[in-house]
Amino acid sequence: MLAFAEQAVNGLMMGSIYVFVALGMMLIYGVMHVLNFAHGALFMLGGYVAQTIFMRVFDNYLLAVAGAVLFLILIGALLERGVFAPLRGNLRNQVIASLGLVLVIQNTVVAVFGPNALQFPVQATRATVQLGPLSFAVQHLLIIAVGAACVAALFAFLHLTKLGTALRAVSQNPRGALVVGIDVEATHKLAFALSMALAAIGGALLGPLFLVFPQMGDLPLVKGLAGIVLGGMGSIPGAVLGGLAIGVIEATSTLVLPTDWKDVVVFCTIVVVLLLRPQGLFGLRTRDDHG
Amino acid sequence: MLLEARDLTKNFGGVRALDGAGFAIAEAGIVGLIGPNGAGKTTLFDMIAGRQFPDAGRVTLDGRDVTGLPPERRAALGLARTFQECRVFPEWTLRENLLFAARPRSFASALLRAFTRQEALPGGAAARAEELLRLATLDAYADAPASILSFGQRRMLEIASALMTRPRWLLLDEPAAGINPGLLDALGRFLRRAHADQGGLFLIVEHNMEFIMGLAGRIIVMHQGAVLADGPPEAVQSDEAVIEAYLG
Amino acid sequence: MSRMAVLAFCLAVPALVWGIAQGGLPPYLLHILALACTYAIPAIGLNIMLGYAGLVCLGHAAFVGLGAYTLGILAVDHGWSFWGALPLAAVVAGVAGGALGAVTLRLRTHFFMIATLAFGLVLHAVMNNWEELTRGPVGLPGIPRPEGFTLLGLDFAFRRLPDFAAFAVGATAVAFAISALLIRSDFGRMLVAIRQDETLAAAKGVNVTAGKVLAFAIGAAIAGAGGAVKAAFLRVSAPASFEYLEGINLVLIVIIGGAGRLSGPLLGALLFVALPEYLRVAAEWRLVFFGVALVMLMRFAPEGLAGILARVFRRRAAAA
Repeated sequence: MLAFAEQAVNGLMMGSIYVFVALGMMLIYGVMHVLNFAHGALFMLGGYVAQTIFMRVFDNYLLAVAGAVLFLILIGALLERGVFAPLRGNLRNQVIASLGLVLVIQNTVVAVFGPNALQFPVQATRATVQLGPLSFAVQHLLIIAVGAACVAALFAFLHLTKLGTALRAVSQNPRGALVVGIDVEATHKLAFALSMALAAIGGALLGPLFLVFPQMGDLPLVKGLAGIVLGGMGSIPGAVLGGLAIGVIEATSTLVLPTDWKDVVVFCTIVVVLLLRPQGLFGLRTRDDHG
Repeated sequence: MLLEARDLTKNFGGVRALDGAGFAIAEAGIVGLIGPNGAGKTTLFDMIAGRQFPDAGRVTLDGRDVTGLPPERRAALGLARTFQECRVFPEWTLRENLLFAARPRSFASALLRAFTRQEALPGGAAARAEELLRLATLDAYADAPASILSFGQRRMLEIASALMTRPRWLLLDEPAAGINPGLLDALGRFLRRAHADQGGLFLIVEHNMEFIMGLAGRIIVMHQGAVLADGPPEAVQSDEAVIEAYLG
Repeated sequence: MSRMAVLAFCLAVPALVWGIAQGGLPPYLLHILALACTYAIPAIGLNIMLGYAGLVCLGHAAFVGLGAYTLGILAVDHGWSFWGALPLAAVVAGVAGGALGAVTLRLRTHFFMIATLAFGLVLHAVMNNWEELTRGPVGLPGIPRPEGFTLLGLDFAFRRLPDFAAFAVGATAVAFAISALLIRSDFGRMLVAIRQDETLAAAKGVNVTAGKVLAFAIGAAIAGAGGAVKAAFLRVSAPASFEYLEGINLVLIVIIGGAGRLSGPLLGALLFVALPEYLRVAAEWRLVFFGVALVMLMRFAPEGLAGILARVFRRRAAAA
């Protein structure tokens, strides 16, 4: 039971990271209907930027995270302008371009920072808190707390503000949104900015825990995708629940299987869900193409 | 019976699109399928083509039950169709579009022939393609990719390609939709001529009343998921229930 | 393919193979040539799926890996000869490809890509973790080069680099010929019909399910054979060669070379392996270069290098 509780907290922590990835991808998918496979690489870039600021400029974790968010929003604006917007309407080309971006970002980082993992010694990784008989690094709880706060803020934004409502309107019915005078272009930029901010926060949160290295975004990307599949493509609440669920499934699987196989468990989850329930566990059935 | 649809029923999430619709066609000819919006024409049509499957009821072709058969199996029996949204292969030239329709469909034999290099195009297919291109007045574009055609021309190509195999059943989904009114006469002539040439059943879903009444020898009227009237154009046009359904 | 082209192909390839085997080329060049072939063969398989049937498979490296491990396990643990294991490598990968094709058929665009990606990841993780069978992350060492033979008075000893490079070129030519024959046949036409419009293809009598499954099986089988060639070249079969980024590299090779064009995978693989060696820059920058090239191609010339070349030649011919 104790082991389960410990793995459940670990799972929620990693799940929160996956939520950052899944939410970011779903925000863009919602308005542009394209999955940005470069999201994991951008997540990694967020970790590197935060680490660089922390080690070389400010020595302040909060400022480092803020810097990473700003930097990634800038990169996101460039990508949206330069890559995704011109390829609109051609899903295959957009996805392939995003695969090209994976190579560009990952290898630029290797060329600039080298292939080896970098330290990101934030105090919160060393300090621990006692929860009953269990102790956790503060960073663990920080990730869960920041994750929850970001999700809450995002939902408040989407449901309470005019901009957020416009974003949801475009996700649900782009043509209708255009008719009622919503600036669809602007919502694409907004979705990209939010998505990049989430990626940056995610990377900056995970970096101190597991070091910063060029492939650090690969597994979160795949597991974020697993969360999306589980939660239902296109669903924002689904991305949150799915991401958390993947984290918990993965962590608790180590109670019965060797740790090496936990990734396999997640990958198999994707395949099984796609085959048995492609609309996701929480997703709505997609509309029939022709009726 | 050439084509029979019996007691077809279909629900879409609580909405009844088809409610026991049925008709039987014994003889070759041009038959129109009309009805106000939402009458269930497209659903019924898709069930005959194999794009949708009924919750209950049967579709038979030449007495053979095809209710659950996928579209490619129906094509093998001699059924061809066109689409309301008009579909052709955009990357291929017009001639390639037509010849593709005539080629054999078995993957096993295609794989075998790939390595023995035997030509599989049936004799006469090339001549048939030229003839259809001429009838559809598309011969000037025979070697241009289909993507450059106007909508009306693409519609003619789509119909010509469906005619390639001399189908026993040809289903046309709103052939007049989106066609320049000035070209409707030409389209009507083309269809009449094609039918005179090859026979079989042309079943046409159509919204353009003038067009279909001048073309079809028999009209089936649908309303609220069922067949409301069935008969020659003149009789259907003066049918009280039909007039009411269209006005109401 | 015209009769002339077939004749030219049947004459040029053996001449090329013979020429390479004579030696004389610097080992460095032979190495690059053989390496390019180990990418070209799987890319030819992927082109059938991606370029002709329109199936964007992100897990193709897994099929290469299946072929490599089939050869490795049979040759190292069971003493099979390369020539005996090669067909089996293709069959194992082909069966896996057909199975993946069959189960992912219903999935649309993004779901399909995610499923193929997940498949590749699962297989890669199995290669990493199933130590009894695969020896885990360090891989299966000591995979033999193909056994030599004497043909027309010529001794082929594939332990020598020139002979192996000649073999790799020959194998690539065979894969190319198979794909060319398939694509120019009714089989290829049906695949292209499926890519252009599935609904219409079905209405025209094409069994879309069978087409996709076959495209998958054949593409994967060619990849499996390529994996065996790769393992014989590297002398080892290790999971790192078949990770998901390698699958993305293959997509990149096909797209840059020209998806849906027979010469696309050859051009792409040659460029992917040879150009960076020629440019003499660090490995990272060459991948950055290719990533940028991919993004640019998507924007300005999605038909790829082969498409650009075809356009240039047509213009030349028109001007002349």
